[in-house]
Amino acid sequence: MKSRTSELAVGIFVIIFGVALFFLAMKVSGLVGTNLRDSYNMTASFDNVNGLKPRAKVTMSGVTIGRVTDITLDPVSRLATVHFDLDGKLTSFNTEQLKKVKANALEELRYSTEYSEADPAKQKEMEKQLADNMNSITSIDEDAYIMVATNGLLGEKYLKVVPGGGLNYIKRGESIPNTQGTMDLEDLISKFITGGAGKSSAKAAEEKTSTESTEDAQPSFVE
Amino acid sequence: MNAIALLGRRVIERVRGIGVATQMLLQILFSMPSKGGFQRFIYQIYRVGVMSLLIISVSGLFIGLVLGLQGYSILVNVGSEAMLGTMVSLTLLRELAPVVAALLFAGRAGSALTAEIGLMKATEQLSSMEMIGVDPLKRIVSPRLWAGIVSLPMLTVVFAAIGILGGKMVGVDFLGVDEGSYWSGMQSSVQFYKDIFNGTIIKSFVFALICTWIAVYQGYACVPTSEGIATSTTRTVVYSSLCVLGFDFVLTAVMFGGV
Repeated sequence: MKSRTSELAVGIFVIIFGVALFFLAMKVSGLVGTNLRDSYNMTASFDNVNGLKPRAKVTMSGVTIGRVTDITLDPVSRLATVHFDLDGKLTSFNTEQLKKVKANALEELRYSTEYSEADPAKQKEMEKQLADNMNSITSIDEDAYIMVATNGLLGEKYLKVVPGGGLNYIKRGESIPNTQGTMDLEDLISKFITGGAGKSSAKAAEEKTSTESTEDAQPSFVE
Repeated sequence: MNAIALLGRRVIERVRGIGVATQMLLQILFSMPSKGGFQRFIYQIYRVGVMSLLIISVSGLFIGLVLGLQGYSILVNVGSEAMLGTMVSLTLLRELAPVVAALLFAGRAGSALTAEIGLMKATEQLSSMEMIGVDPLKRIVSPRLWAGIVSLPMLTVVFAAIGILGGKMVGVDFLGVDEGSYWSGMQSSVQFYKDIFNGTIIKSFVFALICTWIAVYQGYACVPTSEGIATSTTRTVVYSSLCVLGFDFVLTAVMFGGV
């Protein structure tokens, strides 16, 4: 009898441990259950990703659509390449919407000069190419840009996708071309303090050697 | 001259003690499990682990509450009380949960193990076991050691979880920190392998080994008198606490020092 009660108690102990570990994994570290459905990987190159960490969230209009998986440095361009996984369910069109998008794109194509100048066989080919291109598109258009944003004034850094108004959409696995890196407060402050004076004094120094007129030495924001 | 000889004798005794203890540990860790050993092991988990659950949960809750309160009153000065979740969870997972749980465990379970084994030795139960051909190391010491090694990491995880919930109770429910920022700040800063697996589980596993090892060795090697048992029990608590704190520094330096 004694061993039966103790076995029961140990069983309950193990269950409590399991629940606690599950809680730590799910709720505290948010590791297990990366609930990205139908996920795919995309990249973007930034000039500055200061403060961005792997597992930071990627949002669009405030909705979390993915997570940063990896940050690497491209040795050629010396830009930071950020790899991130996006949720396929949230960032692609359903069949109805896809049809509409395809129709819009086709219409756009038919109005283009290139299309009207081409012969019918070439036109067919162009249409087919367009349809193929539309197969694995995301809902992120080519005018959209992705930026490193801050949660609140002092919060953690995350990626924010700001949708544009384009009709062409980025395909899965491609990279988002328009990016904006971290806004460094120190950079902003130093720009504000020097007020473009750093730029103009540098120019002035150049001008002294080349003896040009001083008209160009205006700070850029005067325009 | 005499003083130097005394010092030498002390050192030799200590080193011999460590050697005997290591021999005992290896003998237990690398021995085949005996028949019925699993039942005894489960019963010892009940005594060592389940019985410590209450003190661990209550202290975890109060430490979480205090962390929430202190953290809030400090962070609100710099206007960043949204960082409360990060602070509470990292403090608990990396340091407080393993260390405090191990200290409590040494006081609650370690001293009991020493006293029990010491009394068995004093009443010559261990020698009579040897007499009838039962190995007391296997029969008495081994299930207790294994139970301690298994129980403390589990208790530590429970401690951390309850502490984080306690911090949430004070911070979010009483003081009005935003619940979303409490959890999301936590999730973005806590990494499962680095903080929970390394920081909490590996650390507490090391502490569990140290605490129970010291406890069973002190019981097994105690002077078989009532005074000897008292000395050994005290030593268990003192040595365990010192070792836990010392090893905590070493482990922290190895795990988080290079960052």
